[in-house]
Order: sequence, then C-alpha cells, then structure tokens
Amino acid sequence: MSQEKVIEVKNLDKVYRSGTHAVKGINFDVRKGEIFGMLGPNGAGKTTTLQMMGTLLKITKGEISILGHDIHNEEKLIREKIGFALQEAGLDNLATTSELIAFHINLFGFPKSEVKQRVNESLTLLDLHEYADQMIPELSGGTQRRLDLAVSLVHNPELLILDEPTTGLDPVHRSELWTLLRNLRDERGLTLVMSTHYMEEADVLCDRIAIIDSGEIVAIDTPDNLKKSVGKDTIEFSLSEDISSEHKNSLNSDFGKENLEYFSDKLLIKVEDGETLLLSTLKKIIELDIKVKGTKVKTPTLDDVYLKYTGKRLEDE
Amino acid sequence: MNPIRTTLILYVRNLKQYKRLPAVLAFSFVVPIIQYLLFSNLFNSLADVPGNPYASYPYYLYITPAIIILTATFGSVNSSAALLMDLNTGYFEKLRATPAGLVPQVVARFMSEFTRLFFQLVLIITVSQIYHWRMSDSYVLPDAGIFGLLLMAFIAASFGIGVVGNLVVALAFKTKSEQAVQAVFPLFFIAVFMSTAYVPEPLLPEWLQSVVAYNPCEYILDAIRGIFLDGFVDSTLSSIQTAFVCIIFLSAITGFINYKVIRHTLN
Repeated sequence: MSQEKVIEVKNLDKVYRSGTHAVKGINFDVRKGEIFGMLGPNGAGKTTTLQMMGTLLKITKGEISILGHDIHNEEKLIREKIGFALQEAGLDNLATTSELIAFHINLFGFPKSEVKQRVNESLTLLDLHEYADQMIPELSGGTQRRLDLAVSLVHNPELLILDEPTTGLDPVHRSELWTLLRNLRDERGLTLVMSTHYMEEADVLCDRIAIIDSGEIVAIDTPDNLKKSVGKDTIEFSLSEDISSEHKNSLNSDFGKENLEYFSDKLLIKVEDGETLLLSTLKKIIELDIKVKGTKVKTPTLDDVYLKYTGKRLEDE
Repeated sequence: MNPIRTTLILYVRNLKQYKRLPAVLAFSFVVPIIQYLLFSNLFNSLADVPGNPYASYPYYLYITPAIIILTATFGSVNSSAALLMDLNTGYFEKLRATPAGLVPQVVARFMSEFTRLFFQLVLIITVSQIYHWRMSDSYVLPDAGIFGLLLMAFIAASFGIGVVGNLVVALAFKTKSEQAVQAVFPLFFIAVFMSTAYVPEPLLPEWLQSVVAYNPCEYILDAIRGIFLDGFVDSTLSSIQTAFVCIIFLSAITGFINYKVIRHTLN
C-alpha cells in the first residue's frame, strides 16, 4: 500500500441547524489503495462525515483535502474525481439498467462514440448484462447495489466512498460485494472509504478502521492492532475434573499467574496468539496430567475494542 | 465539465422520463379538456345574459383562456412527480455528488417542466381551435395568429412554472410527499375561480369583483384573453406587459422561498 494520502481530514466539525453536534473535531487520513472503514452504531456521525467528504453537506469547521483538492474551494473538481454510493442505492426508477449507466457516462463528459463500449464494460465489471434492459425497480436489492456501484465507477474514480454498502443485503450478496470491493482495490488500485455498523464487515474487508462514537473517533488502526490493544487471546480448556493446587502451582509457573483463570470445569489461559500456541499449550496441560474434554480459542473482537474505548457494546447499540 | 452542458444533459434526461410518466401527461391534460367541453356546453347561454361585455363571443371562446390558466396550474402541480421520485429514491442526492451538483439539477428540472407544460398548453390551444372550427361555420384564426397562440402558451407556462412550480418544488423538498404537494392545487383552483376566468367581471357578485383586482391570475388571464379575442391591440400589449411584471415579481418571491427551503433542507 502506498503512503500517498488520498484524504486528509483535520479538526472536522459538523453542527446541524437543529443544534445536533454530529461530528466533533475528528482527524484522520486515508492512503492510496487502502480500504478504510468507519465503524460505529447508527447516529455515530459516520454518514455525516462521508457526506461532508462527498460534498453533500457543508462543513461547520475544519479541513478536508481529497486527492489534493481543498473541499472548500474545489467541490466541483472533487465531484468529478470521486464515486459516491449512498446508504440507499439511489437510482433513477424511470430508467433501465443500461440507460442509467449511459446517462452517467454522458454526465461525466465522455464522447458519444465511447458510450456504448463503456456501458458494456460497466455491465461486464458488475456482472449486470442479464439486467441491461430491465427497469430499475424490477431489480433485486443486491442487483440495485451492484448497479449503484456501476454508476459510481463509470468515470474510473480514484476514490470510492461507500455509505453502509451492505445494509439490507442477505449474507450471500454481502459476501459477493466484499469480494467485488476487494477486487476493485486490487485490480484498479481504487481507494475505498466506507462506513459500516457490521463488525465482521469492518474486520474482514478493511485495512484500517476508525471507531467512531458520538461524533468522535475513539480509536484508529488496523483490525489486528485494534484487537491486540484490547488484550491477549484466550484458550479455554473444558475439564473433566477440578484442578488440584499442585497443578495450579505448575500452571502458574509455566504461564504466569496473571494469565490464568480457574473455574470448576474450565481453565482459561491468556496467550499472545491463541491459534499458534494452542498445540504447545495443550501439550503442557496434558503433560501435567490434567484431563481435558475440549478446547476453544477466543480472540478479542471489534466489539471488545468498541467496549474498551466507549464503555458500550456495539451489538447493543 | 461545463455546467451548461451538464444542465443540458440533465434536461434531456428529464424529458426522456416523461415517456414513462404517462399519468402526469394525461391527467394534467384530460381534466382541463373535460372542463372545457363541459363548461362550453353547460354555460353556453351565458352570452345572452344582459350586461355581458363578451356577448358577441361564443362562451367556448371566452373560457379558452381560463382553460389555459387551469392547465398551467394543474400541470405545474404535477411537475413535482419526477422530482419527488428522485428525492425519495435518493437519486437526487446521488447526482449531487457528481458534476450534476445542485444548481444544474434544479435548473434542468425547471427547464424540462417548462417545456412539457408549454407543449401541453399548445396542445390544449390546438384542441380549442379544432373545437372552434367544428362549432363555427366560418372558422378564422385569431387576429394574433400562430405567434399569438404560442405567446399565450408561453405566458401561461411562465406563470405556471415560475409561480406554482417554485412553490411545488419548495414543498417537494420540504415534505417529500406527493400528497402534500398536491394540496397546493386547490389554492390555485380557487384563485382561478375567483377571477373572471369563467364569468365576466360585471356578472360577478360585488364582493368578488373587488377581490378580482388583487388576484394575480386575473392579470395573466387579461393578457391571454386580450391576445386571444382582441389580437395585438394597445390594451393587449399593456396587459402582456403587466402580466410579465406580475410573473417576474411573483416568481422572484416564490423563487426566493424555494431557494431558502432547498438550502435549509440540504444542510
């Protein structure tokens, strides 16, 4: 991944006319070719931030630079260089799939002679050929999402902003969309900025995540680093009998007292990397002649990260 | 991208939408036509009422300007249908994040609605001329000629889009509700009735005669009726001037309201 900054956000603030302070002085940057996620519950300020980046909302205070352009003075240039897929697939209900793509190609000023070929390329890229002549309201939610992406990409933008791209999609369509977004990044070098309230999506798809709560970014890093910041992995051993004090002493000296938790039928051991250390840990337990019924590795989740930084569970929000 | 080119691309897109909105075209055309045919026959004897300054004209000629105004207001209220669809699907917002932005979208919408309304009015005027030809033994084109007929359509469309259209667009942004927008129609329907659209001024009740002078629809009617019945005589030219001043003044007010509502809604 390049170190070149595609987006720089400094002290960004948004106060709506209603008085709602939706975004409170946030700072972050996004590098070229990165998939950058904003994770948080509804009302956290994700959409407001993205809409300010997409020139849809006026900034109350602060600076945004997109692809080297200042958002205060070069809105128009920014609009020509980015693609923006809103939370709801905003499409023209009075057009067919290919008509809509052709209209967007015209809108971005491509010569008439190129329109047909570009429509075909878009249909191929998003696998929409079979829906080319279908009216948009007749398309399924997943297909409408793909079409929304197709029209957001007709001008080969360098940056694609996606506001909760998989909301309302079933798991199959969601997974297909993840693959598609990854391919767009890998094959076209596209930078993606997306908001989501799905932890799995942020974890699987994003190179870096900003955790946003009540208009503030409370943590920002790679998913792995964020999870590591919460604590170690836990290996859980289900036991067939209680652990003796002699066993406890041996375990304390092997793993450190602070990494152990004892229950009547369970033993929890905290380790740096549960997957890697599972076998060696199990071997030690067996050597101590502790009867084990089963094992489980628990790694911290983004929900644990959210809990650590906000005191709340994202799942409950 | 040149904003004028962008506006034209959006304008053409809007015009293409109408082929998929037949109800909008039909509804705002059929109702005035029915009223025209119905009223022409029902109130045919109005010409015989003593004191009618238009006694020398058959009633269907007298109410033609009224039907033109009614089509203009009715057609303008319906002009929000496609815009509401864009607002409610989120496509309006989607386009705002493209070179279409805000201003070209709004301007293109007004241009396309004006075009649609103008052609609808030309069609209504054509129907009225066919009716005139069928009813009279010796049909002659009005003195103002084809240009006069087109000017009538232009004045009515300007009033419809400039005044009614602006309010309708403001309401569409504010409420995003078709029902709320349609609620504007009765206001203008009443305004048309509280003018000399259907009955000449001397035949109106006294209280209504005093209201007529303050009714903006009356100034538009005056100009259209002057062109239609009298041709381009001095009094007509003066009425046309007054009508345009009235349209510009009211459009400026409704346009300002519209601007404030859009800005408020989008931020």
